[in-house]
Amino acid sequence: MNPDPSAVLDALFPGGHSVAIRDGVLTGTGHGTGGHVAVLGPAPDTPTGVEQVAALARAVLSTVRRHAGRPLLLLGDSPGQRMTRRDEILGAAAYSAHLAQCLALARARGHRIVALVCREGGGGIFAAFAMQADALYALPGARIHTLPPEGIARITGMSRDELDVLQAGSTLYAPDAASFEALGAVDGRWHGPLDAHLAEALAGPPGPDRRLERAGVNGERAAARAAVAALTGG
Amino acid sequence: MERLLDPDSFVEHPGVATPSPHLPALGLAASPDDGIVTGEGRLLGERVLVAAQEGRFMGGSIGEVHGAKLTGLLRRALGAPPRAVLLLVDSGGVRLQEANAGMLAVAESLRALLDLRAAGVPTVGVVCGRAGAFGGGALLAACCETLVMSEHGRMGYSGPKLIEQMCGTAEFDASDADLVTRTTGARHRLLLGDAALVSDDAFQSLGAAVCEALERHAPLSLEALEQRQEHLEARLDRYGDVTDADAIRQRMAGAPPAAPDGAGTP
Repeated sequence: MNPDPSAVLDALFPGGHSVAIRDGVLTGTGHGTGGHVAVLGPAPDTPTGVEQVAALARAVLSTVRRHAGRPLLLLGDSPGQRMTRRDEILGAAAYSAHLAQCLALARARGHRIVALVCREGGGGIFAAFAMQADALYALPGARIHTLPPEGIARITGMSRDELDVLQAGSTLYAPDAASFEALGAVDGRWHGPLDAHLAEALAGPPGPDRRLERAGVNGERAAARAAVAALTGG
Repeated sequence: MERLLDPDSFVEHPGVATPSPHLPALGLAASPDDGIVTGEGRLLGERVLVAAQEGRFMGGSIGEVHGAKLTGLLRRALGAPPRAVLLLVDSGGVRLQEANAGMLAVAESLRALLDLRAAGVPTVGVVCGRAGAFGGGALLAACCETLVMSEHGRMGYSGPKLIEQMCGTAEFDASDADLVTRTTGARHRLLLGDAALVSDDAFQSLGAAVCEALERHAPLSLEALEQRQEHLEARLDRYGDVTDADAIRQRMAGAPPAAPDGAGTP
């Protein structure tokens, strides 16, 4: 099994870091080869609740307010948003949407945003957080999923056997980083020295969302490209 | 949609009849529009781009093509900004039958919406359909600059049925209609400040609410998001201990009036 994000921080930042876990979120500063990096992510292995999402948004806004242009490293590991009645009462969707808007503001103000998933990223929180980065990377073997398999089976009415067959070796269903890379969502899987990978990722050019084009290189998502092209004339 | 816009002004975008390539393989019927219509029209004489999800087709779920049509519309708006973009959200979120492509489609359409926000193009979300706005649908609705709900509209992150399936009826009894309404309903969203406007279900009223929403243009800014941050943190402090949405209403009714928080528009 892959290490969790807190275990890879030393490899990401050989020059040191101050990232610590507090109240269910990892936040701090990494000392990268090109300068300081703001690091933030939910505590891995625990469903991400409204308090954690609010803390992540605060970390983004505080970076924008205090450190103009400082790049952000999003640690994307989370099994998904916390599914409780309490989270829903408090308006969980609005918290994740706020976090996504904070990332959009940071991007618009010139902060480079790179995300990394080490072990498992899932749910709406993954779509609103790590998948809103300029570039998303994964450790080999990382899992990415919409819902855990039992959730997909229950909601779609498929049997676990049917779903297992679908998930075996299909980029559409297999809940892993390799499939998401084929579909264009993951920019690359990091083997070897993580600090060098991070430095290269942070130096990447800003620009529009190119995930659909990357899928095209792999012959994936042709229908999506046709629909977007029909609407944009591109 | 036609009834929300100026009479006879709506024109559907041609050439995007792309059914889902994935549903037939599962023995499911595809639809030529994949559950979403995009087009443009006029609102009080000004050009607007519109996408309307169809909750009656697979719960308005966001599959590869469905999401790509949203993304395409939003990128089109970025290329030639209209007066506003209206998103009529009616979606339970990611189409699980198109698992990875559906999740990615949500992320891409969200990014395209946020690019529009960053560019200062007004966006209005309207939640008035039978599917409501859940999961990825709720993220899209809540990322619009202003959110309008009809009084029967519903919004949540993890839908009641999903929570019930994953965590049991003790956590959320999805068959308890009153619980579902008071937790996910428009009145609760308005009270909390996650919806800016609630109208009755008549198209005339919804249209008026959309026009009012456009008057509340609030571009994405550090100051606005910091204010919203304070609001969301204060909500956790004030109501983090409640176990029922009604307790928030009761507490608000008993509390001294708070300063306006720019309801729903960060």
